[in-house]
Amino acid sequence: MSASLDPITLEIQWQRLVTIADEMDNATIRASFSTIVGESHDFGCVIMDHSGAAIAQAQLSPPQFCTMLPITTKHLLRRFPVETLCEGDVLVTNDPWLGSTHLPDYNLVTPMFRDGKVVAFLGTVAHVSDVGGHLGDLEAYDVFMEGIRVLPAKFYKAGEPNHELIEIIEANCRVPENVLGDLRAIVGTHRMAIKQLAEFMDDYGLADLAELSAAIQDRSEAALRRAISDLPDGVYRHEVTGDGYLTPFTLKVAITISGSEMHFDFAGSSPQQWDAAINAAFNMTYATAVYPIKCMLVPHVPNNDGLVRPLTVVAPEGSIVNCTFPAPVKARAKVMKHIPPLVFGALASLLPQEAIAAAGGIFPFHMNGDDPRFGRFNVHVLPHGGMGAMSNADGHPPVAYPHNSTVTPAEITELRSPVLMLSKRLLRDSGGPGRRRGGLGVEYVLKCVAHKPITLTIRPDLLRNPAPGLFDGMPGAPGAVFLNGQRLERFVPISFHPGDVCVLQIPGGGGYGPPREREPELVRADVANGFVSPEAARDIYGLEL
Amino acid sequence: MWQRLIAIMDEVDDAIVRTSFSTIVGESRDFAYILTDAHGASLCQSSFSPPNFCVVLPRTARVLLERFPVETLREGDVIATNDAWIGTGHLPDYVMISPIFKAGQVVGFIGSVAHVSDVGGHAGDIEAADVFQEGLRLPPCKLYAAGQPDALVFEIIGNNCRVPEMVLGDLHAMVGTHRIGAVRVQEFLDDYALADLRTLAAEIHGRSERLMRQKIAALPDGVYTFGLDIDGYIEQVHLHATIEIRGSDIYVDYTGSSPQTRKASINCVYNTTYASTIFPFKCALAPHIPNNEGLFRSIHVAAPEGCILNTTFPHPVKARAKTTNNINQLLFGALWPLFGEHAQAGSGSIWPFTLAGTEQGYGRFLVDMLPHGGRGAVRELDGLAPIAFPHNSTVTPCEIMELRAPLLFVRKELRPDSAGAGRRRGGLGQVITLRNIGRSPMHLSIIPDKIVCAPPALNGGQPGRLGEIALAGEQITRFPALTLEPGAELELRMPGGAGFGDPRERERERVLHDLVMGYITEDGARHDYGLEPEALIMTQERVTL
Repeated sequence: MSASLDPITLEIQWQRLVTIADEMDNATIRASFSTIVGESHDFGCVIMDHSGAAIAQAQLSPPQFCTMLPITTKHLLRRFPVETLCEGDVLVTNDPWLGSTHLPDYNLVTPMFRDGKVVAFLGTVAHVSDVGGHLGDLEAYDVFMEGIRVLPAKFYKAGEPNHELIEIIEANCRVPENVLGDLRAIVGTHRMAIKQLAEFMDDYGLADLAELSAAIQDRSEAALRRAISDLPDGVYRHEVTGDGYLTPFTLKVAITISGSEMHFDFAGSSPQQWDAAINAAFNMTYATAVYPIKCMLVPHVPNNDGLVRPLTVVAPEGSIVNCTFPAPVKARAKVMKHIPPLVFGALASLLPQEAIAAAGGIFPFHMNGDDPRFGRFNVHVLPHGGMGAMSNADGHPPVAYPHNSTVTPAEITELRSPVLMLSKRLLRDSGGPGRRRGGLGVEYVLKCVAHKPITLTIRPDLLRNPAPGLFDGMPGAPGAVFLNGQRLERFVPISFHPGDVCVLQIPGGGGYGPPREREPELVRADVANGFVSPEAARDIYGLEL
Repeated sequence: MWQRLIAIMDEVDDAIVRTSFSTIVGESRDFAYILTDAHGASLCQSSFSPPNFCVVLPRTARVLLERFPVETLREGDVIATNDAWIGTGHLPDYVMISPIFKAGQVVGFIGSVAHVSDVGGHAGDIEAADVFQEGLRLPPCKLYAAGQPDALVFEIIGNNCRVPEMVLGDLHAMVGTHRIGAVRVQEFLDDYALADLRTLAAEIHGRSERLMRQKIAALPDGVYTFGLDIDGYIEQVHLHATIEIRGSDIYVDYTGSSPQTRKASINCVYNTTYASTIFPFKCALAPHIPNNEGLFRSIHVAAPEGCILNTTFPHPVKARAKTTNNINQLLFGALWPLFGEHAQAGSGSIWPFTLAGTEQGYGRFLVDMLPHGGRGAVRELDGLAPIAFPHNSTVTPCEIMELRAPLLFVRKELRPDSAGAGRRRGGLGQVITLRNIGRSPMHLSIIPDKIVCAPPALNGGQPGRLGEIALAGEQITRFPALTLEPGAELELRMPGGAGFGDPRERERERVLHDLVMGYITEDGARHDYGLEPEALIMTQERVTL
């Protein structure tokens, strides 16, 4: 551990790194072309040291991206060893097994040189609008159907675009201006961040980031180890069941706490599925398993790779949480989102104040097509359901969890696609009842106002197995999808005809604690706000109004 | 000299059969070789090449040479694309050209087209909404530069197909045959002390064009129209041709044909419509002239943009042969009185299918078969038994299919009573029954045709019999990606060719022969020819055949 960095200097320098990452984030939003990057914020920015270890992330970045990106960087460096890199190189891959586990996620990593040697890496992983392949998200039998796969390659070579690769990427996506626009914008943000890092290092007279990186990671590791050591050793297990798509699945975890380390074993989880694109490659399982630990034990430490050192994860190869090539993977969030409730469920008895009940989860949809008013359009919206409750807080109304994304505003959706948002409202009684109530779910009503049919692809979850509660809290309401009044059970791309109306009911979060223990004034406030019906207040919360 | 050039093409044709890796190239011969002059105009083809490929390749070559001008090319360059609009109308077909150098100048090109086993993309062949779902699109690029393979291009192709050893193996093998062809052409030039092919090309093109014009001029001027309903998919398609013969030019206009569709991948790019139009005229008017571009110059083809025969990007195109293979029937339908013995009644169509899967002992396998139905009759000859038309491919032998996949061919036989009756009857269709004898399900994709609209007859003949398909005992009429379960059987009852001329004018000896050979049953004899079997047998005593 470094002795020469006093706490104040460390904090200032550390925060400055985070700020640089935040500026990358900001610049990415402003320079992007697509709704999924610019409006849904489905990207992450990470600053890594010379070995590819994460030392800072942008604060709004999705957590899994930030844990996976350093892993991907090490794969990229295996293919392009650091001594072979030049200034102006940008490395790229979207391979699900090396990267962030489905093809739309492009990883771009740029080395930073200082006095002729690599001192850092800037990394961004972004979900791009389209990678060719089929328009559905769920019904696939292998990854080849899902789009173009780019194994580690150079997106830029010594500052010059790799035209050959760019032409091929362009030829294989439906909205090349969006996709290449986003990717080039990201390269620009890396160049900007390199300038800022250089200024930072000049300001503090740093030749490289080695000492700062060691300080950040070692102290973070120590903080987490202290927190783990305070917990009793033992094996803590839990199990959850998810809808899956055609077939439900079960996830099992055994978390072994031993001294200052934690080991996660997913043995017993269901096997991968070859008829639904819900399989999670290992990177995602790893990144999602460690995240609740950070939330619970060291919430105030800015994320960096020091925080994963005491944590190890294993999952059986060929299971739905460690799928093998070429399994279909587009909709792996349908499995991934169940990992936090699995981990919180296992450790809730140890950490009742820090555990969070299950969330309603992500319920993405996207519209594609051609229209004279909009050109070839491609609009993504990433709504979430309500968040789970905690011991001392009701669940938030719809907010991203465990992802970190925003929701394309209705105005932008309507500006960029021939779809009218007739309504967007919280769903009464959808929050899982509890002493602390789960966050409400939300309903979207969409109407097609195009002149000819367009494609609407929806990826729902928690339609059959709603978000469970904790400590006798009740589950949130399940989700549902209706097209022109008919409930949908299968989710192939929908031919959305002019005048058609689609209703998306996005699930609520799970409750915490018995509903009958909820304070009456809170129940009354819920009823007054329209969050809970008088009938539910009476029948579930036991309060006569 | 001309024949020698054809012999060179035949030699490289043979070479790819022996060096290819896949059944679709090596066993089904779904490829073509064409020699062009320095401008990309075709001089000759290998004898077994499919005609459409041979007429399209020069058009593709000219687009490739715009992108890579001839003065920039070097020995060992290989330019390629599989773009459907630039090439032959669907993504599996890779088009390649290699410059032939003599004394530092490009004197011609070896060109080839090959249908590779897999280009990623979705599993079925017909049900797609756009071309992005159909696989990887490689824009015009150098597969080899100055004799060295382009690593990035091969990586991307290999990473985006299910059987990379087969696909990359075939591509490299084709490049090898291009080298053989180039050497042979250089030897030819040496033997005849020619600096280039210009004089020879001018002779070939000039004489061919003059001959074609003579033949056209001998036909009566006029406007001939014809309409034909064909299967299409889900929705029937109507093809309409207006053919004007004016002096020594022919103008074909497809206005009045159905519009393109987003529900099925049966849309045709202009190149394939053009090629499918040229071929029947060549067959009828200049059957003995080796195919070359001089023959096309007097035939002009127009189809409105957005029509199913001139589809716009990015409409789905994988199964365009379902539409283009009917163009000859449309043209013969309009012009048969002018073509005498060279007009052919409708043929039974091609039913290409692919079976893929993974099985112990076979690894990851993928086999193709391109069976045809019976051929249509001409004025003086019965239609041939199953043989490619208007394509030119062979049929993977059952033995090879059974060696490379866990399949058993239970039956492969001519289909009695399937031929359209006529003074000259159509060729018989065939019945193919195969069984999955492995332990795992197989993915089956198939593009049948003529299961709704029968092959049309000429001059009072009868249409060929419709085809039928049964999967695991159930008749099916929709063809998304299908599964052949272990133990299940696929039965293909393929259509027969249509007849030419009034069945009542068919010689009794021929009908008897058909009966004796089992081509028709007794019921068939009665129904199709109005003849009682007893009457026929009495005929036998009087006449020996």
